[in-house]
Amino acid sequence: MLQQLISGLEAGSWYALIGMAVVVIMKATDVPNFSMAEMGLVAAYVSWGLLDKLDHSGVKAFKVGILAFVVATLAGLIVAFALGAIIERVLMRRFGGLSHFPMLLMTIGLTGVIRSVIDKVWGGDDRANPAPWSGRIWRVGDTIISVNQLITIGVGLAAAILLGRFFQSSFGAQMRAVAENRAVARTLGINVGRVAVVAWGIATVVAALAMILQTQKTNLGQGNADALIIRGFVAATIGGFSSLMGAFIGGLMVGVLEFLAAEYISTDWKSAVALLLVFVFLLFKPTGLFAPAIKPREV
Amino acid sequence: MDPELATTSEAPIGPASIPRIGFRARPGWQQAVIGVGAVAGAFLLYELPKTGLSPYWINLACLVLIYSIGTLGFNVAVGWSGQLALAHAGFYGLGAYTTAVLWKDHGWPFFLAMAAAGALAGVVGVLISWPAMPLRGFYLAIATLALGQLFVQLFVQFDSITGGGSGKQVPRFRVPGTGRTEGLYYMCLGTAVVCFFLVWRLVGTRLGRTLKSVRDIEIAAQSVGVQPVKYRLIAFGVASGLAAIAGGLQSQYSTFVFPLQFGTALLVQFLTMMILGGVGSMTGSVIGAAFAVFVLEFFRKAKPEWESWQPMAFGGVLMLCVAALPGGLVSLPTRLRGLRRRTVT
Amino acid sequence: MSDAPPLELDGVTVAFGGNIVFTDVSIKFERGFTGLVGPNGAGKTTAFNVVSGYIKPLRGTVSIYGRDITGTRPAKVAALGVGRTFQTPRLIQELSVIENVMLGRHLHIPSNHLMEFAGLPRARRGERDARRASLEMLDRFGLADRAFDEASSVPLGSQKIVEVARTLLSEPRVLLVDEPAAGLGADDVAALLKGLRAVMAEQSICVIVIEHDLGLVSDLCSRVAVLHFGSIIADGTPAEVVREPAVIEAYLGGGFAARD
Repeated sequence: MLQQLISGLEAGSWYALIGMAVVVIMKATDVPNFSMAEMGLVAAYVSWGLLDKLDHSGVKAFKVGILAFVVATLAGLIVAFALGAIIERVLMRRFGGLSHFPMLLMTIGLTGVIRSVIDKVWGGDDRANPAPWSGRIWRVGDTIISVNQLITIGVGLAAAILLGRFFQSSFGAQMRAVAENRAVARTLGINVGRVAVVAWGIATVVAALAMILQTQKTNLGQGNADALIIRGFVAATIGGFSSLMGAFIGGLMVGVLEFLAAEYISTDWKSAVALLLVFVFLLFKPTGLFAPAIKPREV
Repeated sequence: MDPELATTSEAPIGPASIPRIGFRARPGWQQAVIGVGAVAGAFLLYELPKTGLSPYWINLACLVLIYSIGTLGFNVAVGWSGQLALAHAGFYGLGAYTTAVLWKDHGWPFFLAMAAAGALAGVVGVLISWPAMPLRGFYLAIATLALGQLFVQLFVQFDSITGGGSGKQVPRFRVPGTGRTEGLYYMCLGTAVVCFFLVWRLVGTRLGRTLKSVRDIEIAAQSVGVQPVKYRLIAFGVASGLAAIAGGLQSQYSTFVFPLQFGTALLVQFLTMMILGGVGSMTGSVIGAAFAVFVLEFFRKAKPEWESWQPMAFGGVLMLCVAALPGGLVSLPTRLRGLRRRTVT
Repeated sequence: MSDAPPLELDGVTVAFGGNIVFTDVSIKFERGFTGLVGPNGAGKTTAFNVVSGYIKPLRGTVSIYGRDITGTRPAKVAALGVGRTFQTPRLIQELSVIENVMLGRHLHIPSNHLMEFAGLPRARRGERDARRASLEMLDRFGLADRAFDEASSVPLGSQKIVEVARTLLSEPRVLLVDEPAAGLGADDVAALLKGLRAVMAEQSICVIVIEHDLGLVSDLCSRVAVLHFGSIIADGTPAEVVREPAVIEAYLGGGFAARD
């Protein structure tokens, strides 16, 4: 039971991170970003590629592992921020302002574009993307807990807290104002464009964390984004596409329920959990958990 | 019933000149041209394999036909009934697997297997969309996106039936008295003709305008007695069924099915085919399919190292269409005409 | 059954998320034209939505010809004989005017979709009859010459009339007309009234008209009910109603000047 719970929380943290990233962009720019996981995947590839380079660079300091890993990961996150900001500035701002469904289609199209870029730059093969602490485990009774799992859960929690804090700050308040009503926010003197750029940047960083953590566990490959984005969307739905806390808890819920279903019902049920949850929430509580700051608008 | 409630249709016809009864009556010569064109087109399509065209081109024609059927189904759901149902690639996969399993493992006659796949997917589509009926627009899109992904995972998980992640070989059905490629072509052509004819009948009758009323003016439609849920379910069932039939042909075309074939990439392709061709247009479905096959082949054949650009081609075109050409290619003539008229006046 | 009023609201209360917008309204509507007037936000359209099944009342019952229809789904309410039009015309823009009007025959076409799909004679006949009835109805409103034009090409005023024609074709026993004259030119209003009166002369159904134009209301209706803050504050002939102190208070005291 504890084993399933830990594994579920680990997977749930990935979903929660993607879900929160989706919510941040939805709140600030009203775009349901289906390419969120794919954008994070780019950052994961960047940090993997850099780590690979550093490993073979011959510089002694980077041989140790930890330092090289930290440098590569930070670089990946910086690239993630830049990528998010650029996509907002160059693409979304130009075509933005459409209703949810066309924007959803736009970002579905964007996944194809990003996929091609990844394939072209890094190739289509799956690669191992281990962290320095991969493989280290603790035994607590019958339960095996890996360092990876603890770090993943910790990062998810930290991201949720920091994002929550961020939205309490004055810049966060500006973001909420923009989400509430763009025109009014503009008349209040809020730089709507800057808010959008920062939101996309931050969201992509959060998504990058999810993808880096997840590819450490499995492999780094094209398929990673597909499974994660759907569950991230489910998490965001549970948060009513507006509540970070709802998305966080929703992500953990999907993860834990998946592993519990696999253990106690059948592995066949594992993948159905996310779908059932999305249906249950859309039908019975479309505003999501936690009274939302903004009401998801209809198309 | 109240005897005073006489029906209005018994009222005398008013004095105003009533135009000839008939819809969008075209001039006779136009009808003649369309008729002759249709007959010539049908003849050409039928004779295509005998024109000495290489099997390569015949194969491509097959693929266009297969995708046309799938896109047509997508159009029934999205274009005619206005439901943003994004599980289409999943239903396409369901059809491919069902056909393959029934035909290969259970020895059903091929066409019966394919029809059964269509019927099964139709029923599954109705049953699954039933609880989703209160969902609208964006929410329905999210739920069906998840559903499509679920299908792919089920194909992996039920490996005793589907062969799991590594896929399943499908032997090809030989149409008696034809060559290998030729047989496939006639199979696809026949199925496409039947499917397009059925949909043409479907949207050409009262059902068509009722579907559109549910799409555009749901509230007002209810006020004259239209039950929206019934029509949404019909559209969803027909769309899923057509997707499955196209999927069944796909399993014959590629003689191999594997789960990832039916993932997000195929959804992006379907969206591109439908939106580029024109939402709610039968001709658009064919145009979109032809474009997709061109892209697939161009990036596969022209230079092997270009193949990685294929998702970008679909994704990019999808983004462009959403941003710049919401009516699709079929709307271009009207749009251009509109532009010209505006410049004249 | 024959003595039961065409439409009766009994103790109907409506709330939106805790806000009571409609308090304990009881009223009977008879055959002929009845005006439903009141300041903006008085709950007039809400009343229509309750009757036609789009809003479920918190308490109270709605019945037509003695039959309780409270909580019945809109399509079913329509099948029971309640027709309505909307403030803004709702037409399928890409279809022709007549196809839009034919939609009104939905409940009266004697064939099902499979028969139509197969092109059976009965289905063809049903379609032909529906088309003829639609043309005749359009003709009454002076729009027969636009029948085969695309709905989007018809001016907004005519679109509104097309919608009324569609609703009449569904042969309602109770007809709810929401602000027919709003946004219409004088000619359109005249055509609309002429058509409505002509239908009325034959069928004597119950027609309830929401309208801001009090002149039009007193012209058309023998009876007027005034709704204010979700309650009926006056009910009688147009002449009686405008003398009611409560009505004068509602219109003038509420900061609302009656439009002329």
